Amino acid sequence: MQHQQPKQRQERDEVLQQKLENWCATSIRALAGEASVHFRGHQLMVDNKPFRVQAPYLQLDFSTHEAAKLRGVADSIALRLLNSNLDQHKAQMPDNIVEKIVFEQLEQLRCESLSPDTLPGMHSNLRTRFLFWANQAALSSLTQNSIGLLLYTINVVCWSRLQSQAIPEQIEELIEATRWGFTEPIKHHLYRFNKCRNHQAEFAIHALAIAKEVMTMIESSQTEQSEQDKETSVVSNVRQLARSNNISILWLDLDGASAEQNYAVSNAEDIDKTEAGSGYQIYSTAYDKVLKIGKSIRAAELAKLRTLLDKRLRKQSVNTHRVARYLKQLISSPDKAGWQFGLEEGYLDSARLANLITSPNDRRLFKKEQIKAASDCVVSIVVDNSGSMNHHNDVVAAMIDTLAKALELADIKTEILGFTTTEWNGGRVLKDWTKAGKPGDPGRLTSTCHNIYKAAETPWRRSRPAIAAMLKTDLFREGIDGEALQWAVERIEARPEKNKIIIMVSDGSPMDTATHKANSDRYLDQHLKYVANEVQKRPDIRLCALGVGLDLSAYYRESMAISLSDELATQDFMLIADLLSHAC
Amino acid sequence: MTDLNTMAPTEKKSAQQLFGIDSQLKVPYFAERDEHVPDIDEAYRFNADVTLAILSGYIHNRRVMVQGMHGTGKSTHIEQIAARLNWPCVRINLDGHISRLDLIGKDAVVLKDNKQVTEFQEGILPWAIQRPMALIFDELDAARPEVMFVIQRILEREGKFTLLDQNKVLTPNPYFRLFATANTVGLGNLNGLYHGTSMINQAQIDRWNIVAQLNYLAAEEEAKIVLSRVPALDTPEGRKTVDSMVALADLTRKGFNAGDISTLMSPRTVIFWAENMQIFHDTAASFRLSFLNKCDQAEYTTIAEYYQRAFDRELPESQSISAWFE
Repeated sequence: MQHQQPKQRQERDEVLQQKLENWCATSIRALAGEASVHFRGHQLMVDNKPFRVQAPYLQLDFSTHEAAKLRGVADSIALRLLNSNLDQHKAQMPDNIVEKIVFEQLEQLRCESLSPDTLPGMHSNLRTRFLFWANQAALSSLTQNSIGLLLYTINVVCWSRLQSQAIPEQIEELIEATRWGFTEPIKHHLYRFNKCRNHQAEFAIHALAIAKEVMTMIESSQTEQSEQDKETSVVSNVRQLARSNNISILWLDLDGASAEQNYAVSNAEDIDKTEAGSGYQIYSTAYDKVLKIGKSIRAAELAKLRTLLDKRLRKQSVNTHRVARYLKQLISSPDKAGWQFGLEEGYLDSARLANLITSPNDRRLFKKEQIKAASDCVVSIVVDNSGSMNHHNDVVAAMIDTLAKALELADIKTEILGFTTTEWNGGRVLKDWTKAGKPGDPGRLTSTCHNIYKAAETPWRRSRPAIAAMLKTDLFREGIDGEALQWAVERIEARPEKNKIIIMVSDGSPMDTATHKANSDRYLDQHLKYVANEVQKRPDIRLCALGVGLDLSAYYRESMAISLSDELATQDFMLIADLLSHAC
Repeated sequence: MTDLNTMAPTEKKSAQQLFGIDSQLKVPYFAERDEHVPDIDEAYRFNADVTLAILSGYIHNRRVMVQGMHGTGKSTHIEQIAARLNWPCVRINLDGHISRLDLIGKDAVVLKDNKQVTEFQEGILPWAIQRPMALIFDELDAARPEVMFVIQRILEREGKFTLLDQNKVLTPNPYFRLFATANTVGLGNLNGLYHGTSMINQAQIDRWNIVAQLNYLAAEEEAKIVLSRVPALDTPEGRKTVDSMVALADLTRKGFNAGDISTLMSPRTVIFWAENMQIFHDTAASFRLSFLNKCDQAEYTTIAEYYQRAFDRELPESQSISAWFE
C-alpha cells in the first residue's frame, strides 16, 4: 500500500494541473480576446503554436494554492499577447544569455505596465504575483550569488519603475548595495521607460541598452579571466544558478536555448511528426488478432469475473439514471416523432371530419407533429489494455460498465473496444525479423491484439459478462494506440448513426519495447499523434480522451485527466458527459 | 392637424444637427408631429455608420435591414431617427404565429345598421403602405418564412401591392418606408443564442437594399450611454465604476466568442445593472440580480474570475479554486 502513495499523489497533481491550466486559459482567452489559447501537454498554445513566456514568475506550479496569487499569471500572459509583437521581439532578441534574460524580462514588465485602468483587479493580481515571486526568490539561493542578485535587482527595480510601485522594505534592504552599483549608468534609460512603454520598438532600445550594461557589469566583476573565457564562464555560471534552484527562478528553459530556437524546434517537430506518422510501417500482420472476448473466454470464468465486478460496482455510489438523463440532455437533439391526434388545436385532421358531423360538440379534430429528443449517436470507448493499466483495471472496468449502462439508458449506442499486443517484447514477429537478418526500418515489430468487449448492436445486458473480462489482467501486455484508434475509426465509420464519438481511455503513451528498440523512441508516439490529428480533422467523427491520472492533451485536442485513486462518484461521470458533449 | 394621409416632409435639416454625427447630409423633416411619431429619447446616442445606413433608407427610399446581437438597440435606433425627423413610425413584433391574414387583412363580421355583415378589414400592411409611415418589422427572422413572402413585392421600390380579396392594387405612399431588424442574418440559430429564429429565404434577403450591422459599441461610447441613462452615476467615482462595468461586459463577450460561457452581457444588461445599483446600492448584489442569475451555474466560476478582474473583489462563486487543493 505504501508504495502506491507517491503514484496516487502524482495522479492527483496531474489532474489538478490540468484543472489549473484550464482555469488559467479561460481567463487568458477573455482578457486577451484570443479564442485559440489553450494548454496542450502543459504548454500554452496560441493558434496551435507554442507560446513561451519566459518570465520566472509566470509558472503555473503548485508553489501556491491561492487563487489570488495565481491569477497574475493569466493576466500577465494575456497582456503580453495583447501588447507585444512576437516577431519583432524575436528579431531584437540578443544572442547572449544574460542579455536575453534581461531583455525578455523587461518586455514582459512593459506589457504588464499596460494593464488597463478599467480592470483594477488585474492590476492588483499582477502586483500580488510579482511580489509573491520576489519574496520567494529573496529567500532562495538565487540572491546569494552575485550574478543572481544583480539579475534579481534589475527585475525588481524595473518593475518598481514601470508599475510606479514602491519596493517593499525587506526586499529594499536586500538589494540596496547592488542597486547602488548600477543605477548610475542605466539611470537615463529607466527615466525614459514611462514615456515609451506604449512603443515596443522604442522601449526595446532602452531595454537592450540596460541588458548590455548588465552584461558588462558581470564581465568586469570577473577580471582574472581572458576575454574569451569570460563570456563562457558567465554563461555557465548563470546556467548553474538556474539549475541549483529547483524552482526556475530565472529563465524557464535554459537548456532549450532561446525562445526563437524553441519555435524552430517545435515547428520541425510538427513536420517530423506528420512525416513519421504517415510513413508508419508494420513489419508483419501475420499474428494480429481480433478477439470477441465474450467467445474467447470460458463462460464460467466470465461469470466469476462478473460477480467480482458487480461487487466492485456496489462499492461506488453512482446515480446511473441521473448520469443518463444528463447525457441525454447534452447529446440529443429534437427530432420528428410522428403525429399526435385528437387535439384541440393544430392542423385539421381530415380523417376526423366525420366526427364533427356526428358529434359537433367534440372539438378534438386536430393533429400536431410530435417532436421528441432523440440521440442519433454512437460512442466507441477504446480502452488501453496495456500492462500499466493493471493498477486501475477494476476501477476502469467499473467506470466503463457504468458509462455503458448510462449511455444505453440515454438511448446512445455504445461500443467497447480494448487493445493490447498478443505477446511481450515483440514475440514471434521479433523472431521472424531476427531470422530475416534484421532488415532496416522494420516499423511495428509486434502483433496487435484488438478486443471487442461490446459491439454497438449488442445490448449492455448481454455484454455484461464480456465487460467483466477487463478484470482478466493476464491478457494485458503492451499497447499500440495509433493502430487501435485507426481500428476503432474503421469500425465506427460503418455505423449508420449520424453522430460518432470515440473516447480513448488510456494511462500513458503507446509502448512496445521491440518496436522502440528497432526504431526511434518516439516512433509509436508520432504515429498516434498523426492518427489523432487526422481523425480530429474529420467532420463526421469526434475524438476525445480520458487520461487515467495523466494529461493526454499532448495527443488529443479534447482531453480530461481523471484520478482513479478514489472511488468514482456521480460528479465524475457528469464531467465525462461534459467531455463527450464538448467533442460533439 | 393635417390628415395623416396627406402629410409630407416640408423641409430639410442637417443630419449633424439632428443626430450629432459627423456628416454633411441633409435629411427630410416633417414640420408637424403626428401621434404615430415616437417620443424623443434625449439620452440616445447614434452610431454614425448605422445612422447613415438607416437615413439612406429614409432619404432614398431604400429597404434597410439592421442585424445585430440582442440588446444593441437596433429597433430603438430606427425609432429614434424617426422621432427626430417627426416621421410617423409603427413597429410590429413578428413571431411564428403571425399569419398572412394578420398582415393583409381579413373578412370580419361587423354590425352595420344593427345588422351583422361581413366586411373586409385592412391589415397593417395595406394601412401603412398608403400613409407616410415608417414600418418596422421587428425580429424578421422569427416570422415564418412562407408568410413573409407577402412583403416580397413591396420590398421593391415603388412596388405595388395587390389585395387579392378586394381586386385592388395599392400604390405606396411616396413616404412609406420599410425597415426590419433581426438577430441573425437569416441563416438560422447558429450559435445557439437565438431560439425560435428560422432561416429566411435568400430571395428575400436579396431584396433588402441595405443590410446594416449594429454590433457592440466601443467601450467609451457604451459608458456614455450608461451614464446618460443613469445620471446618478455621473460622479468621478461612478464613472470609474461604469468603466469597469463596461470592461466586464466586454470580457463576457470575449469569453462568449471563445466558447467559455454561453451568455453574454448586452449593453441593455449593463444599463439594467446600473439601474439596479440605484435600488440596491451594492455593485455585486445588483450584478448577481441583473446578469449572474441568468447564467448557467457551471459558468459561475468563470464569470466570478471576470468580476474579480474588473472590480478587484471576490464573488463568493470564485472560492471553489482553493477547494481543489484540499
